[in-house]
Amino acid sequence: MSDYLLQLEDVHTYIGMAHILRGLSLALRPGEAVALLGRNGEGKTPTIKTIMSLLPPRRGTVLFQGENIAGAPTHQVASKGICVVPKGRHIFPALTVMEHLRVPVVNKKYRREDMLKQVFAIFPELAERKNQPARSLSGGQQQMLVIARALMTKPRLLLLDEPMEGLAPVAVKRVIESMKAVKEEGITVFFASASCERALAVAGRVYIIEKGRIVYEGSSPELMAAPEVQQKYLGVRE
Amino acid sequence: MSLSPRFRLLLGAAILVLVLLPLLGQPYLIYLLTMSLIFGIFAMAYDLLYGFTGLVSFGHSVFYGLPAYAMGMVAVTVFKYPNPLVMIAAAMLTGLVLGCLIGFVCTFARGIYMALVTFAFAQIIELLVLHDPWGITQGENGIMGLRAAPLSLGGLTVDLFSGVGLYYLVLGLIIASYLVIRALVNSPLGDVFKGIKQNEERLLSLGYNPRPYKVAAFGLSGMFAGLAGAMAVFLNNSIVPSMVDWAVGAEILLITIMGGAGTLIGPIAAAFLIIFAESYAASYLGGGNWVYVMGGLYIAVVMFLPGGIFRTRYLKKAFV
Amino acid sequence: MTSLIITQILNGLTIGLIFALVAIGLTIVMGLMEVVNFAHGSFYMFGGYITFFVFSAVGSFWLGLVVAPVACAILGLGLYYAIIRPLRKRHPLEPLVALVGVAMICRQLIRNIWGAEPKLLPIPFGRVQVSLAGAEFTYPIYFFVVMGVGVAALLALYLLFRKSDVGIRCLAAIQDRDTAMSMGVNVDRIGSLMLVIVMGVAGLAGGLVGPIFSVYPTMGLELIGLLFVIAIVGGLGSIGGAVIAGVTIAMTKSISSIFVSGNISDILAYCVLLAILLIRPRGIMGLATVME
Repeated sequence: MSDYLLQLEDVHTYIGMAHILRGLSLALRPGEAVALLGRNGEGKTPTIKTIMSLLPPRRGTVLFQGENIAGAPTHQVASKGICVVPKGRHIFPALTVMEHLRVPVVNKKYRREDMLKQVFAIFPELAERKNQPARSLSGGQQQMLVIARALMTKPRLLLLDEPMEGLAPVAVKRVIESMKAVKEEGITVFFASASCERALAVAGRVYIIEKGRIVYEGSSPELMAAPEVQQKYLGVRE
Repeated sequence: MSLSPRFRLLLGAAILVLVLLPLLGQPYLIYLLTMSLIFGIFAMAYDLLYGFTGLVSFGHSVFYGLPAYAMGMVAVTVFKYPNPLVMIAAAMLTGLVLGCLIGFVCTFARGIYMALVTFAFAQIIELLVLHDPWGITQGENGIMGLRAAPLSLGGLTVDLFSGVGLYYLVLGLIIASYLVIRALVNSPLGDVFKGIKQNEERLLSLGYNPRPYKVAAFGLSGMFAGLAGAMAVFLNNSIVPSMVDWAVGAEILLITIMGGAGTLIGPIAAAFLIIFAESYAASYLGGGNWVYVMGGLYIAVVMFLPGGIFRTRYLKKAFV
Repeated sequence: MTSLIITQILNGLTIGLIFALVAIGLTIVMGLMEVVNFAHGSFYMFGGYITFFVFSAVGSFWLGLVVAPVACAILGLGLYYAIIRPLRKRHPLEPLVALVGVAMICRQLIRNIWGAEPKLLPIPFGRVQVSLAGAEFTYPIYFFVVMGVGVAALLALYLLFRKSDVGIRCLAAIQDRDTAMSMGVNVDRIGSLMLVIVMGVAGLAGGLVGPIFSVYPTMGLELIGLLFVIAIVGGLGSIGGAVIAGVTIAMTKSISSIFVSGNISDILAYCVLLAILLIRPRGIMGLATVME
């Protein structure tokens, strides 16, 4: 068994006829926080969806704890210990906060009451709004809710797709705090972001994706010290 | 969509067989062939809307049945002017106008909701036809005895009530309709239709307003469905309320999906399959038991031929 | 006149609740599995005939009303494994074609077993004297029983969807299938469970209407179009919406039938549906995003 928690090896994913991920490889060690950076349309969301098996790869392997999960049904991937905070939040508009937290299937090893206690400890604002419909929450609160929802499965790996996008600065701060709290719990964090600066506040290591391939890999301090890389892959295109 | 030389050959051979079949001189066979061709035109009309534009209608019976009643109005109940060309023109015009009207109203909604609006229309129109508040549909009896004069086209005279004459007319019309609809879907207008099917949001962002195009798709589909309805009137020499029964609309939806939506030829093939299976099953199995064959056929085609008859491996090979 | 109107309102309420019960099943299956279950009406018909069968064999209508939902639920499981599961990755209209085939076969099967003529179940209980809003009239007690059972069944469904994990997960999957799956929800399994439940409910409804309308082979097909409209007008996965839509349509029909002929009252009912669809193009409780 390798010492990686998750390992993507030469992954090719298609959406219809379009070849989206073209031989993507990356690896995460247990307990790290890693960012996937890149401009819009380069393949960040498909990477997340490929790991979740929402977009099963046509070729390549996705190893999670040494087991190939490429093409496994999504609910099984989730039950193995990966959960996701999808892009654009994806709350269930007709459900209340409490009902949201009952949707995830909790691993049999844990009791839901304990999980709820843990989650409400990280997100006290949700405890106060238990019976409110999720659609009546603010954008920041909704983001808290979907992170809390993902944590209910007690994942070993939490994927977040652009968790800070479209939020007010106060809410962004709160999301960053909560992601750090998640990492403190020993959960591996892997998130996609278009913003380098915000991502580096959480991530210890980064990958940069372009046209469905990883084009840069390095630690956060390394990327911070390399403005030319940032400009080349993430800056506004001339 | 491009046709391979092999496929053109296959199509040519099929047409040749269809041209020669009347030589067998079996009136019932001619009747079934004519009915299949009529449903073939109807299915292509549906395919234009569903297969190419991606719009589902649960009320296509309206575009098949009401044009028939328009012919009845022209020939029997209102104007009493049984000129075949005028009757056919009236039917196609009715289909076109009705398609645009219903298309205009139902495209306020989208997706399955739009389909339901078409269904509600079909129900209302069926009930109106049966109830006959304005004395033009003759209620449950329908309109009988349409004695249209023979159709004369440039020296060629077709007796619409002789089986073979009508058969060749419908054969000619289905080929013409196929060519027109194919040209249509390959035209810039057809590209917009396909764009609506693939990704409506993208069309919006490109500055297109898809609604007029959807209305146009409904109108054109209605027009060809009306042509099919008109031919069915000549074939059966009657206009009956079952032509606007929503089950007719459902059947054409089934035929199109079975045949392979978006292929035009597939739905025609499925129309032949359904009409012949229905008729032979009905004559061999008494007491309505033919329904088992038809029900089984619907299930079997979907189970074993994903994407429809026309997308099976063998035909695909011939097609590409 | 007042007593006639009140009678028709009560009739409309009874029938509307039945419509809602069956329509909810359609919306759940449509929302959860993207399957337009055309065979749904067949299960409603099966419910009626199984009740009739038990009644004529054992003499107890109430036993029939217990057997019918159970039998329909089992048949529903069969339908899931035979048709719906094998076709679950296809374009949503392909299972529809197969299910139309199933509905055709079911109708003919019933015709071959019990014949085409309607079978009448006697109305249990007698009539009761009602005095309401200054009007005095008698009304069959059984209709009140149907209302009671209908409300109880709706309440049970409400509790299922709002208070149980599986119900909440089902609502979540209707609203956002991918996200629910990412939370470890096995949508296929919940789908099969829900199909079994709603088929049982359809069977119950079919049995309940037996004494009111009698049972006949086309009772399902006749209703399926209307139910389908009620289901979607109500909003996918919405119990409240289905009740509002079902009662509205049944009321429109029963009240207008006092003044106009049956055909015209049907036309009016469809016009009401048309109006709702055009004013609220996503249904009364329009939250659903699936199948657009």
